Amino acid sequence: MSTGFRGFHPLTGFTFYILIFIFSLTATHPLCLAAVLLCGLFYDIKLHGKKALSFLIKVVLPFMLLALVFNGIVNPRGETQLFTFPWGKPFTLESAVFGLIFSLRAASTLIWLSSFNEIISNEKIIFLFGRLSPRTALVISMSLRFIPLIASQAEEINSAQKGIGSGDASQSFSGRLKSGIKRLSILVTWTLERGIDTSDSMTARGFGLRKRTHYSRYIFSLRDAFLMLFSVAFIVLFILTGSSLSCEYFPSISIPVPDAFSFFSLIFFVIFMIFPLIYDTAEEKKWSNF
Amino acid sequence: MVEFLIKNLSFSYPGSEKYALKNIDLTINSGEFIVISGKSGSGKSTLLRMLKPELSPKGKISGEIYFFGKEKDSLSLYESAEKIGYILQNPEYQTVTHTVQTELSFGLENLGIESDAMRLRIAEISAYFSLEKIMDKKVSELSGGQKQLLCLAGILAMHPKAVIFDEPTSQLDPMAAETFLQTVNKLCRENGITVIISEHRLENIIPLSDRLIVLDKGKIISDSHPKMLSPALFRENDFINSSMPAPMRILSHFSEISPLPLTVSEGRAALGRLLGNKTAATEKTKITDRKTEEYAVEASGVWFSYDKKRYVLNDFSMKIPKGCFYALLGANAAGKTTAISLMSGLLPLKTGKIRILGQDIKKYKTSELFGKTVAVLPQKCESLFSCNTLEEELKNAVSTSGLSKEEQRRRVAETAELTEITELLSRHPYDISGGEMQRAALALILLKKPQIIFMDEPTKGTDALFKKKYASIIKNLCDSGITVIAVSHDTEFCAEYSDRCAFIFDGRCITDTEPKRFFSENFFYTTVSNKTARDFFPAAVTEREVVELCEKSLLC
Amino acid sequence: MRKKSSLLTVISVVCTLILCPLIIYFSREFISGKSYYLAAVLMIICAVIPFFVYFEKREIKTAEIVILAIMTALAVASRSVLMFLPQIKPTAAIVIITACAFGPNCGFLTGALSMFLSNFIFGQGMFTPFQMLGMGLTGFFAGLIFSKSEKLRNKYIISITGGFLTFFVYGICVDISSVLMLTDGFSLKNLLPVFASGLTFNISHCVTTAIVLFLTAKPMLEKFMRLRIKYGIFEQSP
Repeated sequence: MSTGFRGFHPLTGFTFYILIFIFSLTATHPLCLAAVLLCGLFYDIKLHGKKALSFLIKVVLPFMLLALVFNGIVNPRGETQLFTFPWGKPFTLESAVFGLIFSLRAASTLIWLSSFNEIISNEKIIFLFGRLSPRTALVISMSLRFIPLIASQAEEINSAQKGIGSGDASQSFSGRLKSGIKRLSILVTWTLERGIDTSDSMTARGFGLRKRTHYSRYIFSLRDAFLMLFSVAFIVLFILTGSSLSCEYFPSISIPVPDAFSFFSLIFFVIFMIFPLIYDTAEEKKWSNF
Repeated sequence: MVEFLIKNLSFSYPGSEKYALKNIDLTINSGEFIVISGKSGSGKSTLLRMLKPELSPKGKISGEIYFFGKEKDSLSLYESAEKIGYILQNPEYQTVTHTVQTELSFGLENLGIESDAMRLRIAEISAYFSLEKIMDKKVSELSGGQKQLLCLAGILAMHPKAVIFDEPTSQLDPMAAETFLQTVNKLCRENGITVIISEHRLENIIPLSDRLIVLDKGKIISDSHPKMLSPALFRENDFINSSMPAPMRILSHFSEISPLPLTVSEGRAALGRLLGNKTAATEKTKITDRKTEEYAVEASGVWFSYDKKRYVLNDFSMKIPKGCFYALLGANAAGKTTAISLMSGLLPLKTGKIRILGQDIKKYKTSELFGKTVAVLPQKCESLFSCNTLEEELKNAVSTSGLSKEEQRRRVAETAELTEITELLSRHPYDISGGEMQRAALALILLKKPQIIFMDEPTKGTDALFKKKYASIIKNLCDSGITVIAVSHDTEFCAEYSDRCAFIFDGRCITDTEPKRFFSENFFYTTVSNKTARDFFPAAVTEREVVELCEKSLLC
Repeated sequence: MRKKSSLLTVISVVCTLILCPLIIYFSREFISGKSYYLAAVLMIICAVIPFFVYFEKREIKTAEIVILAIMTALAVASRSVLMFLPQIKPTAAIVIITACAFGPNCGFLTGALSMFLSNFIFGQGMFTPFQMLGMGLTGFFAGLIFSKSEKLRNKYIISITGGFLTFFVYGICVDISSVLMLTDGFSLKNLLPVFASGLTFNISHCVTTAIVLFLTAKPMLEKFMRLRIKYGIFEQSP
């Protein structure tokens, strides 16, 4: 079992991320967005180190820029015209600000997705799927078994076909296409014909006789219950502060100053979102003194 | 306790008049280790599948089968799934899920075992097989042998009474096969699990078994302890004559010896008793080094590395005379496959020199080199077939050759004749046996008229009869001037049929000589016949040679 | 069987008639920021549920599950056999062929799962749900058109329809996701520039899919026929 935030039960971890995604996709207040973006960024840096920064520069920033430009150009809404494009469309302050807000939103979602893919491993997704639709989870697991197998067979086919002098990179497109289609056909035949062994092996081990039970190595422990409670509190506060932290950008910009309650909630949100970072750091300290 | 009881069972497949099984009577007791053998098409698989109701083929059936004292119909599928395990040939395709842990729990989940009970069983079985360290690994990262053991572990977690194995080691290399069979033996001896196993390679398994059942044309022709196998059968049945362990085969020629020896040490003792002190028979080992100026492949000073850390080949040199059957032997990862990949041009040559038929390999155009000059027979023949019948496959292969229709048809027929697949032409490539598929693949390659053929493990997963046939095909090819170069683990095959053997170790060719000298000079890496008879006839390598020398000794 | 299909009807009705309007209402009124992306994802989940419920509940043979898993894996990994043809991505073609042979539901699952699994390897992204829906629907429509009638299974018709489906169904689904990721509010005006920028990719995807279908659809369907006969699966078409 992994230590740190990874070690939480998949359900807890998944709920956490879903809440974060909903929050980052629906928040409109700049403070909320800044909080979710920064928390996500810090955690991503903690998980990925330098890679997180290069992800930020290579993927997130260009995407933000694109969202900014797209909103500015395509959305000629808003009252305050800054200037007019040569093709006659106005460029408004509101759409510029909204573009910025929207790009923050997209950026924070991307950054949180990056840590999601690290924390919620494929095994956990299959586990969660297994609870909802066991048969689908099985098909996913089987496909994941077949994918590397097919890739290795593809390698064999490529070298076997080369070895008998059929098709190479120097040929014309139609020659390569013909040879490629043949290889594809060999691959499909191979996998489907031999797949009957899989079917036999499943039948031999009693597949389909009765309702399957589910083996899991994950344990729902006290800390999961704690985080779940934390999540419920998050949902409640999120709903309660809904209107007081909501901003309007069209036709004119209105950003409310948070009152005491929403300020308190905001702090709570930050604690919630920084929780994985704190937890991981604490765990690292705890287990490093040996 | 009787576990399986078969009374007068006959079976035929739908649409076929021929009986796949005929009048089978068989009793299998708890804890027995039973080997079922017979040439391919003798009904081995059908019989094994009859013992596992879920997998039993549909067709016309008469007679009775009792499982654990119950009639077939009163045995529930649940009981059958739980009590009878079944392991198939192919380790790749019988693993179902993507991680070791899910594969272990797969069967238990099917049985509906509760989570806590399941945890205990998995803990137990992973301790027995020491799987803890690989628990989180992906199945695709395991070796073939590990996959096969994983399948076995998954079945054992279901607590079976009997496990049926249908050629479980045919896709494994010899070391992994050995480990697997030892594990199976341990299970049978220490845990009393009934083992029913069919194998193509009988040398290793027969000494472990309690009973050897031989099938021929759907009938049981022998059912006894392997030692008690009647020497007469060796003369009557060509399958037995060619497939049994070498000590048995050698001593079966002298029929006064019974029980037959199963292992090398028993064989040596039996030979000692037989020959007494009459071993003085002089043997002349005539080793004539063939002087050939013409070489098909010459490699010199070849270095190669896949990962910039370790050389797989270092200063590798080799000269392969034209028109001979040249075998490359050596342990796993010694560089054999890399060597033939480089010599055939599949891998790019970086350092060193390779000449094919006297010309530098780099000077060949890809389209000239592959097919017309060299051809590589892949280890997995599946990577060649895509059509619905073999005939279509062969016709497609010649359709680009630019010959006239009539010429094409003639060449297909000729090649099919040469590789003895003429009767199989209307069949689907996947409906024929492994050995037949191997020959069909060879036919496909021959249609391109190559000068040099490289083969990777041509005898893997085929039985002794197929090897004989295959060897005669190779001999014909060599006689017509084609050079055949094969990587093999199969010492017996190379000793019997190859013209020269090279031993690869640590990325270099250590020896390169005639098989007779090669094997008689080796101590461990040699044929079973040689190991058995070494004290008497040090230079005898094959069964035939040992027998001839024995006969000579007995006469004088 | 009958009971199960009626259960399915209930679930689809609940999903389409109750849940979807609820989501629209919810996203308009409740989520203050009006995140169309989130609303669209929720609606996709609703649309997908009936397929998975049907798959979970119906009688199924072991061999069917194996074939589904194999076809999904082939859709994901078969590209590696076409190393020297980087332009060609056979995923859509394989999904469509599977759908032709095994019906709309199988087609949907193969399509949706193959997209899901492709993202498994590189990590899930914001467009995963849209790709799943797009490829799933491509398979679904192909299955709807071809699985029942033998007459339509002509390589010309299959390849043209397949190209059409990849262009319009899959292409548009993915383009919509880009729009929703770039801005809030979805309108034709927003879609056009995205669609225009993705046009070359969509056209090449459509053409290569059509080519692959033209060359492989017939022989592959024959292979499936052989499997049906040899192993006795899919005796009654679902």
